[in-house]
Amino acid sequence: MKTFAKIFYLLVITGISLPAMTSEINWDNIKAESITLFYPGQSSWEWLLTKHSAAKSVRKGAPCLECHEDEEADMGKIIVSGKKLEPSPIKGKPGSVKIKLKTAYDKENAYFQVQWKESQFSSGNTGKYKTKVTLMLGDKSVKEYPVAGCWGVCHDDASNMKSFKKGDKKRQLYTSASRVKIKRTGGGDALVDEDALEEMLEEKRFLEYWQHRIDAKSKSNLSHGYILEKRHKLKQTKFNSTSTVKNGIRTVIFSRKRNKNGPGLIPLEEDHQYTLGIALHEDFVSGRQHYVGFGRSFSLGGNDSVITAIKQ
Amino acid sequence: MKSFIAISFLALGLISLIGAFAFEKVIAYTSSTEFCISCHEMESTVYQEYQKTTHFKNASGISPSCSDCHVPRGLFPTLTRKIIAAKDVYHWVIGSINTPEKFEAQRLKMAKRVWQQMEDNDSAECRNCHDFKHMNFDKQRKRAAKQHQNAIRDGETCINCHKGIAHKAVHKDLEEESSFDDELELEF
Repeated sequence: MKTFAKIFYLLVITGISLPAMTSEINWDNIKAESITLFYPGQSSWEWLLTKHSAAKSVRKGAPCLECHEDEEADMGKIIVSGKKLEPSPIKGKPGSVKIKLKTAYDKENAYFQVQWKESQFSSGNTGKYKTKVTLMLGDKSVKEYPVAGCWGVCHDDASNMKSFKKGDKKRQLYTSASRVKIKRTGGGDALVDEDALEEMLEEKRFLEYWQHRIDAKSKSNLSHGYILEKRHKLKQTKFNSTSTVKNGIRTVIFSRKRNKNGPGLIPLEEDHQYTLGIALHEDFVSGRQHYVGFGRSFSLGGNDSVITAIKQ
Repeated sequence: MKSFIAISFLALGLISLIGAFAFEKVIAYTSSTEFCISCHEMESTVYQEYQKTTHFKNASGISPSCSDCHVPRGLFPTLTRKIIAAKDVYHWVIGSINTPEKFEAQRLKMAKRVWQQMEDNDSAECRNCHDFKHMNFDKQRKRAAKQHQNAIRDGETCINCHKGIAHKAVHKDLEEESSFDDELELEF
């Protein structure tokens, strides 16, 4: 009995719930969405609003996909080569990667299957995680997110971005609303007051992310958190994910209980439109040296989103 | 007396005819690419850049001359532009832009003037050939089709988006000189 209690306790503290572990989704019946993730270099939210050739359209709220669908591979090739937006190109790194995304949900959980052919490219990088695949979810409560997806929280003064200065303290992703003012160089460290941040947390004006990380020994590790004035990592991981590889094709399946509703968690409801962002770090890279997909509208059921999870 | 009046009219007509002919020739000559690139700094800079663009060489074989893009059509607009352009000749004569180096130093200033002229006349020179009404959006790349339709909706003009398509993209220098802080206002 003690052993069972220990196992149960371990499952609880690691945030792994039995229903989420035993996904019974028949993925073969679900149509995959092909998405090209590409190398973004230093294309920040502020860059999009100013130097991007269609900055005016972005300022009016035009989402990236409105113009750039099917251009991702070309853009990635240019940026990764260092011709544009990348001052330190990694020689030989591919500019983009194609993934297949399948989504489903049932009464309890939402499920996301990400599949891609693992790259054989190696720059000689070393680091803790060989691969990190991240899903980020939010809605129009973070108003730049449906327009620019992940770019909406990637600022010019984040670590290793163009306006990050030597001696600045580390800055990761953050929402514009968490800063007193957004300038061309980003929002800096001047935050709105604590009450305002608390209110944003209560009103779900943040983005939630789930990250599946795979180390050099192919061991998986999960990271769960949210983006508000900085990247917060939750103490308990409240999603589950599994990773397998077969014939060079990596499959990562995420699942999360739909009714989660604590700090940093966004309930997953039917009839609500979210935006889904996807990023992939390969070859032990970190920060901006990843591949990112444009934000896509996402909903559980319905018919007005780019990605629709299929009810099981 | 009658024959004097007749001869006077005839002479006046002949002088007018010769004047009109000469005027047309002068306008035509000063609108020719040969005239424009007769200055070394023009030939070695903007003309070299132009030759690398799709406006110069393309599948359909249509290639506008300098004046097609820089001189609006119609007598009055043409004359107005010629008078304004005379300033460039003046500055060439007094030595402000008589070398490629001096030309480069003044390029952004001159480009800004051209962009402003095009904004003011709704890109009349572009519209000599290009017209939203005749665009087949189905045959354009998705981004071009969307942006052209947005431009129609918002009353934008060609030069708003198409700076630097025939010469060096100096509008990028323009962007560098601004902090952009005033352009971060969202309209959604």
